[in-house]
Amino acid sequence: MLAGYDTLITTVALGAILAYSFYVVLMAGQLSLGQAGFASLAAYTSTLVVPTEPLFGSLSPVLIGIPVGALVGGAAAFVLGLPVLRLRGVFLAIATIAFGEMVRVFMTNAEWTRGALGMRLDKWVTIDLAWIVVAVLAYLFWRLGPSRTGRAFAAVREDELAAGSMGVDVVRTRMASFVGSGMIAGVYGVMFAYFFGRITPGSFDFGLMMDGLVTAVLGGYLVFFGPVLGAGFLSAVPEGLDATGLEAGWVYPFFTGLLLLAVILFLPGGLSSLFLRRRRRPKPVELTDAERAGLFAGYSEPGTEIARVRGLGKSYGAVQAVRSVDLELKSGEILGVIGPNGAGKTTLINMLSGLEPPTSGEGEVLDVKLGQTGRSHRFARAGVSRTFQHSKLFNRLSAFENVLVGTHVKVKGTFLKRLLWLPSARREEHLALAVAWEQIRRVGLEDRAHLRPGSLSYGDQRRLEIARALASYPELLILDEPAAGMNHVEAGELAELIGSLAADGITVLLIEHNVKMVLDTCTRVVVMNFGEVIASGEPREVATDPKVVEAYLGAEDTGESQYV
Amino acid sequence: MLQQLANGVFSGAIYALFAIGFTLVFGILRHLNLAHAAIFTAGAFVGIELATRSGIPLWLLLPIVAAAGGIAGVLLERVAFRPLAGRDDEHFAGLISSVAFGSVLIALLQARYGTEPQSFPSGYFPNQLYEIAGVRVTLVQLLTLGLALALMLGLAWLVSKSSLGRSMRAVAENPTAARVVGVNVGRVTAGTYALSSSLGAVAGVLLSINLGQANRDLGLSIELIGFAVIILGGLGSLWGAMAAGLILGLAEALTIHLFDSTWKGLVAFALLFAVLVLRPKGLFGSVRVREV
Amino acid sequence: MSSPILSVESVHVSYGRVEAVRGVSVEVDEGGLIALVGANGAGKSSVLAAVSGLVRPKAGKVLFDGRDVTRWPAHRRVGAGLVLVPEGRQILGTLTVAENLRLGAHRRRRQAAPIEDMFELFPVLAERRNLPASALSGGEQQMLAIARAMIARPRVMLLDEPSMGLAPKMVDEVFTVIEKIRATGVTVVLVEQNARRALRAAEHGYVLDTGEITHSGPAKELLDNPRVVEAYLGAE
Repeated sequence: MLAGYDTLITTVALGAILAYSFYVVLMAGQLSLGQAGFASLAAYTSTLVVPTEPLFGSLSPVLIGIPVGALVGGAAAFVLGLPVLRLRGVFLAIATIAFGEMVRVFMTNAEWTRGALGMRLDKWVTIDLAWIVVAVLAYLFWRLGPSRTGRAFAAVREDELAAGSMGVDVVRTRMASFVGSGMIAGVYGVMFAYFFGRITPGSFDFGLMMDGLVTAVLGGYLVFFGPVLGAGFLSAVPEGLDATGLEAGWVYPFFTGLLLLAVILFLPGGLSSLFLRRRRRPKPVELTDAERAGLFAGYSEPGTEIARVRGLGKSYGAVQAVRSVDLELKSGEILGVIGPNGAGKTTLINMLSGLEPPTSGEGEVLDVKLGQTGRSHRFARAGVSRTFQHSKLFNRLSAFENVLVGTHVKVKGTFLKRLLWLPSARREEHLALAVAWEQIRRVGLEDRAHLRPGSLSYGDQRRLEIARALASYPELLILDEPAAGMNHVEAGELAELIGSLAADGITVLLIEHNVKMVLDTCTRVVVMNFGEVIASGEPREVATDPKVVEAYLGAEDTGESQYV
Repeated sequence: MLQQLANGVFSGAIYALFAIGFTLVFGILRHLNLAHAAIFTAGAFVGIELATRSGIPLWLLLPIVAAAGGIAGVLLERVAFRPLAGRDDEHFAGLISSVAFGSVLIALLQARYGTEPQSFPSGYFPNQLYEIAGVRVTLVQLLTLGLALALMLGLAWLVSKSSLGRSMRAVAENPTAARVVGVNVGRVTAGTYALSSSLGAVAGVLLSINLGQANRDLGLSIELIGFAVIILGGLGSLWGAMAAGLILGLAEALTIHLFDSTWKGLVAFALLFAVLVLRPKGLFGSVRVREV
Repeated sequence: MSSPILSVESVHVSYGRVEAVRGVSVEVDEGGLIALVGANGAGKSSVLAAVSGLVRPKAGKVLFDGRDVTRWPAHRRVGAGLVLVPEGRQILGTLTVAENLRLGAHRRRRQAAPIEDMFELFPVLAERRNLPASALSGGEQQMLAIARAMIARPRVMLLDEPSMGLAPKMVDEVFTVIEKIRATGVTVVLVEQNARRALRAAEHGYVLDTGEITHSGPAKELLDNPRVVEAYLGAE
């Protein structure tokens, strides 16, 4: 039945493989366009090692070429990644395009590649082999999606800062996706060479990369079968056009262009997102007693010092946001930090959570020294967790998945185990699900767990961010204006929640504009203005301190405050 | 040698003219407009058709092509960029939608003109040859160089001195602040695309005049070189793009002279790569559009 | 009472599903000065954003000089003389001081004041006219932001937290300038966290809390109302 369509169907498989090499970077939010270079290097290298006779008399010699291609592509991506992964967005895209073009020119000028003439090879790639490779890739990505690694990819894509604060090593995750892309592109290069039986340096050009990118975007990079769908669709369009008698050469690019435009404008998740079932509500998963005991292991004794900073300062050019702050935190306390806008509160906690290095002074939080940038995941692993003043939720994940990312530092990697269906993978996943469920219930969002953050109310978004932070079972929880925009009832509930956290032994650092809430909840309060600590002590003392009243309400004519 | 350097200057001027529109849009709106090359190609085809059919002279042809390019730019902004504003994946989606717009445009060109290269009618412009200090240049080359320089200087003046330019720089720095002082951000955005695209279309005509013809892939190679120019010059820097265009043209000419034309392609990308890795701001990185 | 030059009628503002302003009504007579005060996050800035056209209210109306401007884009309101001095100043740091001022005038070319008038009013800006605005200190940037609005000769000036992040001496200067603006007949709507300062300057005040007006009345009365202080510090 399919006779005569062999070539077409194999081309679909090749297109899908190429698209997977884009899928893996896009799912981590990286726009890399170096795939043609990786494919080219791999294809040409494979010509040196692939035998001209079938293996053991019957096996396709490409079975040697494929792992070699993956190796060469992955190694090339790693070496390229070291310098270029410091770049982001279009800069990364352009640098990788340049790499691809350099490879092309190099291959054109090398002797052994026979330059622009290209090389003739045997056609060893059959329809079965091509689809087996696609099946393996689809399986990999199917298992990757809901693993700890897959969640880390998604978190980095949605928000690098928040991902780092949840303990995801952003640098390594980006590199992993980049190397993965190189490996798949390498496999593609080899398959391409031994399917068409001919390669030239121009086989792997800018146009090829655009094709791969278009396929991946059209199919969608949020669902594992997106690339197959994209490739199938792009091959079906010309067939369909043929059938309707529209055969002119311009018709195909015209329609695919329009289709791509429509997809990116109206269906940003690609065609595969049409096949996504409505998000199911997650099923409740309960923590076992053993799991629960393990989560609280290693907490400091109440009253021990867990953070200490001395003379901490931060300046941005001429602006001194924080100047010479001394601060200690003791395990089990709820420390409130208040002060007018621009007082330097957020800058202070950015330093305490490893997001920004101080420009002067020093300090330690849970035995991690303040200093280096890009190391916020170390703070998270040591037990610091935080929320952000402007919610940094992962927008294209469900509320529950957001909280699952928060479990990153509490569970072990599960991707490889999931590939082999090991029982330990299930145990780790159970722990992650149970922790996430516990936290989402704690903040009262269990019936909205399947929704995306964007469709939650403001107060719910704030609570969700707290649940995500709690899912790492932090020793120190930093909340940046969690009550902003909440009404009085919600703020009251939040204050209760914070109190219950302290009862669990979590130390809380709370920045808040709702002074009443701070005074009611906190055991100690620090007041900042113009980057300095202007008062600190018990809530009631602080509230009557004239300096504090002045900072908030402005100076009183008579000098004395009448009402507080 | 001198002859090759002179050739390098001519191609460099066209690179710069192409890239300056590219970089203008990026500098002001942070969009990487991948349809720029398609508009460049369309400019060439429209120019050839006008010259062939009506035989209007070059001085009239260029403004017409520029206007057509401007209209295409406004359309591009409406279709491929404006609907994405405010979306989470705005920048990535903009890349894709501009690729899509570009391929639709190229497909339409193919529908009208087929796949064969189109040529200017013979004798459309005087084929005069001059010899200056032992270097042979054609009138067309001189004209191209002069026009490219004039257009680039004109654009630089517009951005730095005119009221529109001031508004553009305001939008570049802070769209909200621009709205507060009463800048019509929508109109400035459309205007930026119009300006950028009309320069791109004119660059297309100038290149095809120099080559004598145009084909569908005219924009493809210059798009890649355009990347190199705007990165070398510092994304968003007008003066940087001008200087980098000339530098690239000269560097290519030197490579051809010293090695062989097949290595020519490597120069642009090796330079681009080195700059991105060592100095991502570009060689002239501090001079950005907003500071011109 | 004469009809107000600006009136905000039960305006609602939402960002996504977040309701920042819930049915706020405010009005000011020509030449008057009103203050909107309240804690951070109370929705003060969102009210000004709706009045200036930076956001479109979900419900309610904004009437300016008798015309319904609710659906007007921001630049058109500037053209009509309804000008905002935004929170955090929002000066254009890469443009020079003079360019910032010219930009402020460009929507109202006919009515605009000569740039030299602004330099007379703000001598500190005259000295730095050709410097990029980012080189100014915080207080100077605030002056520039006010001057940039003044040059358009607005009929109503909306000031959002002009004293934010300024040292006490600069705060005094800013309020002196506001008095001067008043004296030229410009109507002023002042949003401030520094409630005492703002209410002392204003005739009429409104207190916002979580998107709603909880108190309003003559500014002097609000100053003496213990509940207003409570809205800030929550003290009993």
